[in-house]
Formats: sequence, C-alpha cells, structure tokens
Amino acid sequence: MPGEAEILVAAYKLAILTFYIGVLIYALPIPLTGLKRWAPTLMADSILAAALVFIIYSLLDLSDYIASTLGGSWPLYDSWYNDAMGVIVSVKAAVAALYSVPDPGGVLGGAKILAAPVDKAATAALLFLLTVGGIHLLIYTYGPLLATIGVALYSVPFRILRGAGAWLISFILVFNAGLQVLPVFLATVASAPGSPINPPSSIESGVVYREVRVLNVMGDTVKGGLLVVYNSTGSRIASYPVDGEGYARSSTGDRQVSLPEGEVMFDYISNAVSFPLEPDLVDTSSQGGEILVWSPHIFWSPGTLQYAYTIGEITGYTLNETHSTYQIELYPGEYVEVRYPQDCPVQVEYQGLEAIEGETSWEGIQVEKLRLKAHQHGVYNITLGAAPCNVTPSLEAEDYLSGPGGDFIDYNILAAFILYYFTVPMIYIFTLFIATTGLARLLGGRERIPVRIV
Amino acid sequence: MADLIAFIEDLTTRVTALAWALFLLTWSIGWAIRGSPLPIGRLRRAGTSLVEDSVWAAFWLAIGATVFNFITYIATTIGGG
Repeated sequence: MPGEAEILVAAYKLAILTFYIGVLIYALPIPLTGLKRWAPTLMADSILAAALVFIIYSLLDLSDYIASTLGGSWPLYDSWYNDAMGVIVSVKAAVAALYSVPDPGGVLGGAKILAAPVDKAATAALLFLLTVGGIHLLIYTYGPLLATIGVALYSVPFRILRGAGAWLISFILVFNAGLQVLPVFLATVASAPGSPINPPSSIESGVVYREVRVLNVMGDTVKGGLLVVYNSTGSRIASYPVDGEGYARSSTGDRQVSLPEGEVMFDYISNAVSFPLEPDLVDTSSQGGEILVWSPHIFWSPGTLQYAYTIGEITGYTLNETHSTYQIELYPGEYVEVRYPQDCPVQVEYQGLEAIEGETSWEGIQVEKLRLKAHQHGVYNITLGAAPCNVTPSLEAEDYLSGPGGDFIDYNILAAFILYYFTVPMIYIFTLFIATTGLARLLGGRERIPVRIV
Repeated sequence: MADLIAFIEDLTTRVTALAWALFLLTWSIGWAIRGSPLPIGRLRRAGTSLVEDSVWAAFWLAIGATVFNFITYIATTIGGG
C-alpha cells in the first residue's frame, strides 16, 4: 500500500501534468473558444492542486487547532463515547433480563410492554453510536492518508475526480474537528442522563419457580397460615399463604411460587406464632420441583389453623381416626400449647399439667390458645381431637417476582436519554455533513464533471 | 506507485515536447492566415488569436518550472514545513 508521501508526490506530478496540458491546449492551432477556455481553467486548477499538496498537513493541523480552541480533544470524545456506550448497553441488558425471567403468572406483562419502546430507542442509539464510532476510527486511523488520497484525486487533469477529492478532503477536515468537539456541544445542550429503566432487583438476581410444602414434625401437612421467605441475609422477600394441603400459593393461586435463585430461609406463621422451619438454609437452585420444609415443634395439625406444638420431646404416640394421644417428656417450665380458631373447637385431655387459657386475634380471626405447663419432670399423656374446620383467613401473598413499581421507567430520563444520545448527536453529525459539502464547494467540488469539451 | 509517478513524469515530458511543437505550428499557421491575401475579416481575426494563444503558450511553457518552484516556496512558507 503506498504511503502518504508517495501519494503526495503523485498528486504533485499530476498537478504539473495538468498545467502542461493546459499549455498544450493554448498551443493548439484550433481557434475554438469552447476548447481554448479549458487552457486557463486547467492551469489555475493545477496551481491550486499543487498548493493543496503542500498545505494539506497544515490544514489538518488547523483542523486540530480549531477543535482544541473550542475545547474538544480525542480523549474527551473517547470518554464521552465509552460513557454513552455503557449507558445504552446497560439499558439493553436490563430489558433483556426483563424478557428472560420466567413469568408464568404474567406479572411482568405491563413492564414488558413499556420496555419495548425503550429497547427500540436504545437499539437505534446503539446503531447510530456505532456509525459515529466507525467514522471516528476512519478519521483517527486513516485521516491523513485519506486526505492525501483526496488531494491526489483533486489533482487529476480535466477535473474528472475534482469533486470527489474536494469532498474527501473536506470530510476529513470537518469531522476531524467536529467529532472532537461533539462532547462540548452536547454538554451545552443537556447533561448526560443515566439509564431510564429501573428493573426490579428480583430480576437481576434470578428467579426460580418451585412448589413449597410445609410439614409438621410427624410428616403430616400443616394447613392454613403463612409461609414467609427470607434471603440468606435475613431480609423478608416474600410471603405465601399455605393451602389445605400444606402447599404455598402465589397471588395468582398457583402452587408454583417464585423464589430467588440461591439460598433462602423459611418461616411459618400461624395464629400469631412464628415457627422457624428446617432445613435452615434451602438452596432453591439445587432443589427439584418441590421443596419440603418442616417445623420441628408442631406435632399435630388436623385442620386449617388448628395445631399443637411443644418444645419438649415426643416419646410416643397412638393415632385414631378421631383422637390422637401423644406421650411428651417435659421438664419444669416446659409446655405444650394448642391453638385453634374460635369457630373450630378442639378437644384436649391431659393430666398433671397446669392449663392457662387465653384469646388473641390474628388476621381477623379470633384464636383460642391453651397452654399446658409442666411443674415436674415427667412424661405426660395428651389426647387431642378436632372437628373439620372451614375457617379461611384473609392472607395475601406477596410474590417474590412482582410487577415493577411506578418508577420502572422514568419518562423524564427517557426523554433526556433520547435527546442526549440520539437526537442531538444526529443533528450535530448532520450539520457536520452540511459543513463538509459547503467546504467541498469552496474547494471547487461544485463544478460539474465536464463531459462536454466544446 | 513509483511506476505511476514515472508514467506521469514521462507523460509530462511528452506533453511538454508536443506543446513546443504545437506552438511552432500554431504560430506559423496564425501568421500564415493573418498574412494571407484573403479579404475576410473573421479569418484574419482567427489568425491573430492563434498567434496570441501560441505566444501565451510559449510564455507559460518557459515559465512553468518557475511557477511550480514559486508554489513550492509559498506553500512551505505558509505550512512552516
């Protein structure tokens, strides 16, 4: 590939050739005005082309000088370009994350619709920025070479490529200065906005859908109540009502509930008592479709919100269709407690224990509580029986994956985003092209290509 | 690239030689027409213009090298290089 110096030498020689062709036409013994008019034209062209050969580097320096006078520089342009790319790519990534999350409940439907135009705006801005990046690469890497090629084209006799050469020289000169000044221009119009899209944090950390079943220590299901989900740092992130078969239900009534991908902890709340569930930490990503969790304290749970729990040790039991008898070892101060809704009475038989009765209300339900306290160490027989219960507590599910809030898309930032990364730069680049055409005309690009000789 | 430059230089030499030859031819033709005993004004004026053009051509041929040296001088002065 020829170097810039060789191209300039060729351009200079072409200019000299043009000059002598002009002289030759002067000397032609053909007295036609149309033909003779070419002589001074070609000679003037050759002198301008020869001058361009010598001052093209000065013009490039002048272009850089104008850029630095206006406050622009290539490092400034680079930092603006990288910032813009970062913001736009983060918008694209956020939208892609939104679309990639499994969403059988359809809670993200609205957000997806709102995100679609943002995604399109980001795509347009990305394509436009890549175009600008390509122009920058062309000018920054090959600018002087392209300018010398422009001069060589400009020097070709009979103005055959004069327009192309003038345009190429103007393009390099204008964009060399214009792109360096672009961030300065933008800064006078608007300040750089951040990402207009705020996806829910749950989307970024991953979501899985699992069935979760709550059991008591005997392996029987608990019924009613609320399953609360905590993340591994102990923050409450979701809660799901438990149905009559021990399954957690989502807000859409589905047994597949959304959970974060990774380690979580579960609590079970029923009749105003909270029970930590085992295992302590559950890794949702390694579990299959159903996660089993159990309370080590609840040992009897026949119907909705009816249960008995103890902190003592169960040493034996007999189960009948209507009644169950448990042998429980209690130390002084330890107790067994039975809780049930007022409308769903429970029969309790016991010996040698102090009974403390009470009432409380939980989620709009009147709850009876009966605490059986031991004063001596021993094994106590407790018989429990219950009728079926139809109480339905009004518990609301708080899904882990919920629809984004009202600030999901900030429309002010979206407007600023489109203005700053798309509209204003596009107008600016368009203006640069107009300036290029103007400068090309000044250099002589306006002249039409002369096919007509006479 | 060197071939191209050599070709352009060769072409320039030929064009220069041809231009000198054409100068002589045109100058002669011009005087011949001007001095001919034909009483047609337009023809005589054409002869005059041919003589003038050929003299200009000879002038620029002679001064061409000087012109380009002058451009080189001006451009290096402006460009600082």
